[in-house]
Parts: sequence; structure tokens; C-alpha cells
Amino acid sequence: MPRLLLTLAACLLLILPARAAEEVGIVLPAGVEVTSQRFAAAQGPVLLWFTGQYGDVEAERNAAAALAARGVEVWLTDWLAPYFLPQLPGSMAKVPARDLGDWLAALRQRLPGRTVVLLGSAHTADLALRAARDARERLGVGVDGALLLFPLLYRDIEVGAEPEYAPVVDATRLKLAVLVPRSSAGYWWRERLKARLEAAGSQVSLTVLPGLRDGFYRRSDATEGEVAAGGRLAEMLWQPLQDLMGDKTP
Amino acid sequence: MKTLFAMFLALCLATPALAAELKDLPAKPAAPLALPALAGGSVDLAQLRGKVVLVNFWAAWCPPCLKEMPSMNRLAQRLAGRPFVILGVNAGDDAEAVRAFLKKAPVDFPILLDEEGRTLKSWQAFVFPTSYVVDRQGRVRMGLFGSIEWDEAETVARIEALIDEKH
Repeated sequence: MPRLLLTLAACLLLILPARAAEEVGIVLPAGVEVTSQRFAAAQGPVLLWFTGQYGDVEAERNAAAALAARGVEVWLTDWLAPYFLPQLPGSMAKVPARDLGDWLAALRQRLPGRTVVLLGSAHTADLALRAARDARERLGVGVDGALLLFPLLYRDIEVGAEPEYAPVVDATRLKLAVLVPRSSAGYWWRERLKARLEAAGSQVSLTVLPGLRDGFYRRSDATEGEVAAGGRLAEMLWQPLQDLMGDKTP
Repeated sequence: MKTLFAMFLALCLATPALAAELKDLPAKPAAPLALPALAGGSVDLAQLRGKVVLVNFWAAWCPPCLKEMPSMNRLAQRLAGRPFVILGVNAGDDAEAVRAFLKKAPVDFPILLDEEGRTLKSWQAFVFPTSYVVDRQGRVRMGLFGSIEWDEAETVARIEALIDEKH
């Protein structure tokens, strides 16, 4: 009996998140409801994490909870679900920029005076940058920076030709922190991306993540090192976040 | 509820990424490629003029690279005795990682080492694996981002057609 109780208690501890998230829905002027998992941290800076391509990722939730415990409020938002879009790279372009901008402006209004940083990984980097662009150009709403984790920002990629970057790359004017795994194709082209972003007016810092591949924290074939790194995702994001937030770091 | 429906729809619609395809490219002179070989010495593509050369850029951390490697070795065996060569160009790994990879997928063709990735730009290797087929005049004629089964009949026939091309 005590053993059963102990097992039950252990299970309970495992399923209870370090810091519970609250579901928050925001209805946009277009009528679409965007639901986020909010990991609250009163008065701290806010990280808006654009997700969706890989559904609900445990490592992302854990990192969000850990960051909230450090005083950074995190809004983890699946952008494909509101539009019933499949979890494919091509779905990103189908998320309307206007909705992204309206959502960002709504959050800005809801969280006045807070430092706001965006986070996109792989193809959702495109969503984060488009949100910033639309909010800035159409609504005059700015953000304090964006963190791009193994960003995939190509529009077309055809063998034998230089790939085109997504149009938003040339329209971004942000303070950016770009994290590129050493074991990735993006590693070899990181300076090209940096140069292009800087030419458009962004300020870019690059960090190489040794021993990791794109999507390391959610790969089905993750190595032991990648699994361990996934468990340290919040720590990995902390320094670049501090750089972006400057003296607003909690 | 909406989330559940979206997840269901995503599952229904989710298909694998578009299958990689060996594409015909407008003929253009191949970029220089001269690198040290894992087995010792070095290999210069320019010295292989008169042969069709499959240049394959790969990395030890890349699962599709591992997947297609055995089929490339079978292709090399199938075309043995013909003017055809495969060059496997490893980008960015040290010799130890390359050897560990090749234990899992042994090959008989030359493996070249480009630890600094110096050839990737001129060869436009934006993904791994990236492959190009160079004709007997040293011109790039076909290319591929991603992996395929290199010994499938259609692919073999296309490479044989290049080998048989009259100058």
C-alpha cells in the first residue's frame, strides 16, 4: 500500500507542470480566435513564442515554465490551429499577416509598458517576423526584439539556384538574436542570413549551438546530447534573451 | 474542441515533405572541387574529365544522407567499368565522425573531406544531402536537394544516358 501511494505521488509530481499555464483566447478583428498558453510572470518582460509546426512540444512548455519562474512571462501560441492548417512548413504563409499584427497589437495593449520579445523556430520564424512587420507598418506598434531559433526563412529552394529569402527578411528592422545549431545546413549559411538581415536594418547577433541539429529538442531521432540540451532549453534561451531585453532583464 | 479538430485535420492532411527529385539543370561548368580524401591523397574533379561524376555533399549528422548512401554504393557497383565516378564530399565533420558514419554505411567510392565547408558556397549546397551530376565535359547537368534511391531504374538510365552521350 505505501508503495502504491508513493507511485501515485510520484506520478502526480510528474504530471504537474513546474508552473501551470493558463489558456488565453484573443479574438481578432477578422473573427479568428487565437489561443495561447500563458505562463504568467507579473510585470516582467514578455516572450511571445510562435509555434504550431510541431504541435504541442513538451520541451517548449517546460522551457516556458522555467522562463516564467525566472520572471519572463511567456505566451506560447500555436498559429496553425486557429486556421485548421496542417502542420507543414507551407502552412506558415497561409497565416494572414494582418491577423499576426492585430494579435501583437492586442497583446501590447493588454500588457502595457512591458518589454516584448518574439520567438520563432524553424519555419515559425517567418510568423514572428511577419507579426512584427505588420504591427509596425500598419499599426505603428513595435517590439523590443526577436529570438530566432534555427530559423528557416527561405521562400523557394531549388537545386542549382541561390535560394530566395522570404520577403519579410528584407522588411525586418529589429534587434535579433539568431541561434544556429552547428550540425545544420543553416550553420554554413548563417553569415549570409545575418548580412541580409543587417542590410535591411536589423541588428543581428549570431550564436552557434555546438553538437546540436535543427529541432534538437523535438526530434524523434534525438541523440542523448540533444535530449539533454532540450532539458536546458530555457537556459539556452536565457543569455540571448538578456541581450535583447537589455536592462529590462528580470 | 477547435484545437482537437485542427489536430485531427492536420493528421489527415499531413503528408511527408515533397519527394526529392533529380532535376535536369541547364548545363554549366562545374565549380572547382579539389579536396583531401579520407583514404589519403587528394582528388581533383578537373582530373576526372571524360567521366560522369556524381558529387554528393553530406554530413555525418544527417539521417537522409545515411539513408541514401547504400544506394549510391550500389549505383557505383552497377556502373563499375563505365566512365562513372561518385565523390562523397563530407562537410564539416572531423575524420573520426566520418569514419563512424561510414561504419554504418560503408562505401567503396572516394570520400573527400571539406571540414571548413569551403566548397559549399560555389556548389550551392543549401541542404544536406545535395547532389550534382557532372557530365563528361565537366558541366553540371542534374541536381538534387534531398535523398533518393540512386539505383532505381529510372535514375540509373538517366545517368547511363549521360555516360553514353556523344561529345
